[in-house]
Amino acid sequence: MEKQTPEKDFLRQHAEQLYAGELEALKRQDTRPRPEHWELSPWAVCTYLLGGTLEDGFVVSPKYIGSRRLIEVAVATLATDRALLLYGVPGTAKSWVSEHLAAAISGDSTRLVQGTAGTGEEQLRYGWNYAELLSRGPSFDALVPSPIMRAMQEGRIARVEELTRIPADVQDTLISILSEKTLPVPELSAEVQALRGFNIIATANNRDKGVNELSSALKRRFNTVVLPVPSTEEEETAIVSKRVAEMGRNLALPAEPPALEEVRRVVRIFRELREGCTEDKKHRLKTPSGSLSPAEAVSVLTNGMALAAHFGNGRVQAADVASSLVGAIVKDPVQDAIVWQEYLDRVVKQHYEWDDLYRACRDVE
Amino acid sequence: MAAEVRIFGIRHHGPGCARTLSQTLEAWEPDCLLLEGPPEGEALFAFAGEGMEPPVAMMIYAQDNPRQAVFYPYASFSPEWQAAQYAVRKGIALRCMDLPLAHHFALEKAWAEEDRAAAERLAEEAAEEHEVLCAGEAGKAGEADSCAEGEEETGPQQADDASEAALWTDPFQKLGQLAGYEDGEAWWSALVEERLDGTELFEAVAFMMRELRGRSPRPEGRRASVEALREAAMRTCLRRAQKEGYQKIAVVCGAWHVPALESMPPAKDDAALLKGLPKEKVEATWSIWSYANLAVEDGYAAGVPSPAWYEFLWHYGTTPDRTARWLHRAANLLRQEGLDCSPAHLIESVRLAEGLAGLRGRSLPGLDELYEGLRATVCMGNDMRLKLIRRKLFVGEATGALPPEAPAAPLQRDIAREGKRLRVPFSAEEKILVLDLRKPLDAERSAFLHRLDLLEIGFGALDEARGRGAGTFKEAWRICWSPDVALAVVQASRKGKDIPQALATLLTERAAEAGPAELARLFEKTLLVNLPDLLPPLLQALETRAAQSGDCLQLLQAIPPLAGVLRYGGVRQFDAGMVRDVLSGMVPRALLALPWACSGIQIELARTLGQAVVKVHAALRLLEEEGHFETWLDTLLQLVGRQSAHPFLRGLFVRLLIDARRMDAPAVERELSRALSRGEDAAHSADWLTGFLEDNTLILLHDAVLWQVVDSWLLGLSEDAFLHVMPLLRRVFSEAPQAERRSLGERAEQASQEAARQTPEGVSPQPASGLQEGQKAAAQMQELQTASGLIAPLIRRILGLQEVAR
Repeated sequence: MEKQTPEKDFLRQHAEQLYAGELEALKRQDTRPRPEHWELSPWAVCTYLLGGTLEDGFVVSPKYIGSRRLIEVAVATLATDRALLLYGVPGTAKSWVSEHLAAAISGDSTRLVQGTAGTGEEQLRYGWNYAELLSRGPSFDALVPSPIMRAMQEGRIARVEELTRIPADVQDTLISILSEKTLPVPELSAEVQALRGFNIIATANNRDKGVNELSSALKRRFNTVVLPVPSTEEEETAIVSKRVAEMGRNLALPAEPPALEEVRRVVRIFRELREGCTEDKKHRLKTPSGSLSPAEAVSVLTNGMALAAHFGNGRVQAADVASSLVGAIVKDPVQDAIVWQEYLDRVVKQHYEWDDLYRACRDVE
Repeated sequence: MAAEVRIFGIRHHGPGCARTLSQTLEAWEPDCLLLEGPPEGEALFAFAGEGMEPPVAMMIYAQDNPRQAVFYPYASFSPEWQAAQYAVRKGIALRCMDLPLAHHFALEKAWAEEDRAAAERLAEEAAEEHEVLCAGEAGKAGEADSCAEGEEETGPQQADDASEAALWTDPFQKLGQLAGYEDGEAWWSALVEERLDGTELFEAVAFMMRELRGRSPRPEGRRASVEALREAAMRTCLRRAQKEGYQKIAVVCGAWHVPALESMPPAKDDAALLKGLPKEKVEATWSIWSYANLAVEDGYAAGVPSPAWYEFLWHYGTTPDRTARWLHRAANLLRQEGLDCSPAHLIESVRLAEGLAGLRGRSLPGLDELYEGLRATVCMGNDMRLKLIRRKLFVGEATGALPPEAPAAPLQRDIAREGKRLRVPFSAEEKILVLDLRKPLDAERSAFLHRLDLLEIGFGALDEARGRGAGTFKEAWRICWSPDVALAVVQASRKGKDIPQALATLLTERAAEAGPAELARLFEKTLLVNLPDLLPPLLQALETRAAQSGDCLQLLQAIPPLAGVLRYGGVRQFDAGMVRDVLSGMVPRALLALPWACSGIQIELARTLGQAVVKVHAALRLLEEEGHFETWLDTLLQLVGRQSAHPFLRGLFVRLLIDARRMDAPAVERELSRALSRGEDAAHSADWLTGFLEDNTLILLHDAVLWQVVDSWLLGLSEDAFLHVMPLLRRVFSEAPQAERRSLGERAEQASQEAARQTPEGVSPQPASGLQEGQKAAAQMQELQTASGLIAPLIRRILGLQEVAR
C-alpha cells in the first residue's frame, strides 16, 4: 500500500488520472467564477465533458457524445446544490458521465458508493471501528466515515451508483442528507454539516430486474436527467469506436482497433434488434430480452480485439466478433436464440457483404 | 424644415421589439406612422380600437377569387399592432406602405400563366420529339402528357428558388449559427425579445442589417424582383409622407428592409420600377385569428415557436419575477392534469433555470432554460408530462374578437351573430359539441351547423362514431375554426346577404346542373337545415329532372334518400306529401328502365348498379305500405330469368328475392344449378355466384335457408360437375376475409358431423377397389357425405383456408 505504483500500471485509471492533462489545462485557462470548492467553473466542466478547443489551442477531447443541453442541465443542477439523478436504460454512459462530472468538479471521482441489494445504512452514513469503540468508547476516532460523509466534510461530489438497487429503506437515508445537508451522529450527540461544494450524483436504471423504485420523497430531492440511447447510427458508431480505441489502449491490447466498418456493423445489428426494425424500416424484427446498449457494443468489440490479438492475426475480423456478439444478444437461451436465429437468416444472410459474419455466427453454434 | 424620419427595424411578432417600439413612440411623439403592410388594409386600422381583441388578422383577397388570399395576423405583442394602436389612440396619420396586393395577385397570376405556357411548350416539344422517335405509330397524347409532367418538376420556378442566396431567405439563421445558437430564431429571441432593456435596439438592428445586406450578393429571380418592387413602393410612400409636410415620420418595417429605406435612390428610379404593374381587384377585411395559427408549426412562415411565451413576455417581460410567474402557470396546468407540482418543485425549477441561464451566458432564463428546468425537477427528466400541457403552455389557446362595426361581408356578420346567439364558439381549439335535438336550442344549433356544412364552410363535421351510439335524436359535432373557414365564409358571402339567402342561391346553382341522384342527396341535406322554403323548388327540380332523365342508375340512387325522408321525415316537422308524390312518380320510371340498364354492361357497372339496387330494396321495404315494394319484387323476379341481364345482378336479385320470401328453396336451387351448370360460361357463373353472395359470404352463416339451399345443391353435384364448379367456388370465397372463411369452414364441419351422427353406425363406406370406374365418383361422394373427417378438409380447400393457414 505504501509503495507508490506508477499510475499507468493500474488496470483501470480514474478519470482524473486519465485526463489529468486536460483538467490541468482547463484549470489554467478557466477565468470564470467557480462555485466554492469547485475545481473548475461550470462552463469549463461542460467543456471538459463535451470537448472543445481552448483559447490557447489546447484540444479537449469529448467524453460524452450526445446532447449538449443534457450536460448543461446536469452541471447547472450540481451548481445549484441540488442532487443529480442520471436515469436511463443500462449502458447509456450514466456512470461514465457521473465519474467525469465528479472528476471535473472535485478533481476526485473516488467518493463512491456502489449500490447493491446488500448495501446497508452504514455504507451511506458511517460505520464503527469496533476495536477502537470497545477500547476507548464512542468518539470520532472510532467512527468509520462513508464516502458520502467524507465528501460532506471535504465539500466534494459523492457518487452513488445503481441507486435503485439499494433497498428502499436504506435509500431513504439520503433524504436528510440531501435536504438538511447534514448527517447527525446521535451516538456522539454531534453532526457533520456538509461544506459548500458537497453534492451527490446518483445513477439509476429503469430496465433491470430487481429494481427498488425510488420513493417520491427521494425523487423530489433529485433533478433528473435522462440519458437517451444514441439517436442516430452515426452518433452511436462514433461513441462505440472511440470507447473501443480507448479501452484497447487501457487494456494494452496489441491488436489494432477494429476498422470503422466492423464497428458500424456491430452497431447496426444492435440498433436494429433494439428497435425491432431494420434500418431501412422495411422489416419488423423481434427484440431480444437484453438492453443492447452502446456499452455492450463496446464490450463485444474489445472482446473481439482481445481474441484477435491473442488467437488471431491482430486484426479484428468477423470470427473474432461473432462469439461475443452472440453472447451479448442471446441472454435467454430459449427466446433470444429464436430471435437471433431469425435475425441471422432474415437480415444478416441477406447482406451480401456480411457473408463472413454470417458464416462466423453459424460456426459459433 | 426637412422632416425627421426614424426607421424602426422589427421582427414581426416580437414582444421585445414591441415594447421598445411603444416606449420610443410615446417618448418621441411622431405625427405620421408608416407600417409595412398592404395599402388595401390601411382603412381597416380605423377599427383597431375598442372592441377588437388580438389575435386578429387582416384578410385581403382577390375579388373574383377569394381563395387567392393573404392574411396579416396581429397579436398583442406584434410591434405593428402596438404601433397601430398608438396611431389610433393619438389620431395621427397611419399609412401602409407595402406594395399593394393588387399587384401581388396580378403578378402571381401572370407567373402561373407563364409557367403553364412554359410547361405546354415543353410538352409540345416532348410530343414532337416523341413523334419523330415513333414516326410509324399514331401519336399517343397520353404519353406525351406524362413526359410534360416530368419536365414540369424542373420548371423555371424551382430553378429560381434554388439559386437564391440562403442569406436573403433567412438572414438571421446565419448570424444565429455564427453566435453559437441552434438557429436564428433562438439567437434573436435571446438577444432581442427576452432581454429587458432595449433603448439602443433599433440602431443595433439597423447596423447589423446594413452589414448583412452590404456583404451578401443580391439574388436574382422572381421573389427577389418582388422584394425590389416592395422596397420601391415603401420608399415612394415615405417620399409622399415627407412631401405632405409631416415633421416626425416613424417607419416600422421588417428589420431586413431598413437599409433599403435609409439610402434613398432618385425618386424616378422607383417610379419607373413601379410603373405599369398589372392589377387585380382586391377586398380587405378583418378576421379573427388564433395562437394556434400563429405558431410556427402551423406552417405560417413568419410564425413564432411559442405565441403564449411571447404574449407572456409582452406582459411580464420586464417584471423581476417573470421566471417564477411563468413556472407558476406551468405548475397550474400540470395540477389540472392531476400531476404533482409543489411550490418546492418550482423553487428548484427557478434555481435550475437560472443556473442554466448563467451557464449559457444569459442574464435571464429563456424558454429553453425554463423547459429544461421543469423537465429535470418536476418531470423526472421525461418529456411525456410536459407534452400533456404543451399546447396550453407554449402555444396558447387565445382566439381574437372583432368589434361589431368592423367591416365584414353581410354573410360574415350573419354567421357571427348566429354563432353568438346560439353560443357556438368560433375557437381554434377543436371542440366536441353533443346536441340533443329534442331541446329547442340544440335543434337550432344543429340546423346552424348543417347550414354551414351545406354552404361548404368547413367549420363543423358530424362525428359519426360518437353520434351513432347516442340514438337518432343526438348529434355529435366536431367544430374547429381555421383560416380556411374565414376564406370559405368570404367565398360563400358572394351568394347572399344572410344564411338563408346564400343557401337559396347555392341550391339554385347546384340544382341547375345536378342529376336526380345528387338532387335527392341535396334534398336530404337541405331538410336538416330547417329552412322549409328551400325545399319545394328542390323537389320540383328533382321531379323535372327525373322525368327527363332515362338514366336508371341515377333514378335508383335518388330513391333511398327520398324514402328515408318519407319514413323519418316526421322528426323534422315537414310535410311529406310532396315527397310521396315525387317518389311515386320516380319508382315506376326506375323500374321501367331497370331491365335495359341490366343488359349489356360490364362487371364494374353491374357492381355499382348492384349497390344501388340493394339500397333501393332496403328503402322500399321500409315503405312497404306505399305499395312500391311488391312491384319492385315482381320486376326483380322477371329479371332473374332474363338471360340478357348481367349474371352478377341476376345472382343478386335471387338473393334479394329469398330475403323477401318471394322465392322458395326449390326455385332457388333450380336457379343456382342452372347458373352454375356446365353450359353456362364459367366467368358468368362466377359473377352470378358473387352477386348471389353479394360480397358478403357471412350471409350463408346467418341465413339457415340459404345455407340449406347451397348445401343441398353442392351435395347433389356429380363428381364431374363438382370438379367444374370447384374453381368457381374457390374464386368467390377467396375474396372473403379470412375470419369469415374460417367460420364458414367451422359451420360446414359442424353440419357434416351432425349428418354423420344421424346416419347409422353400421354403414361403412363401400370398398372402392371392386367398383367400376364410373361408379367410383359416386362412391366417393357418398364417402364425403358420411365421413366428417374427409369433408372438412375439402370444404377448407374450397374456402381456400389451407393456404392461409400455412
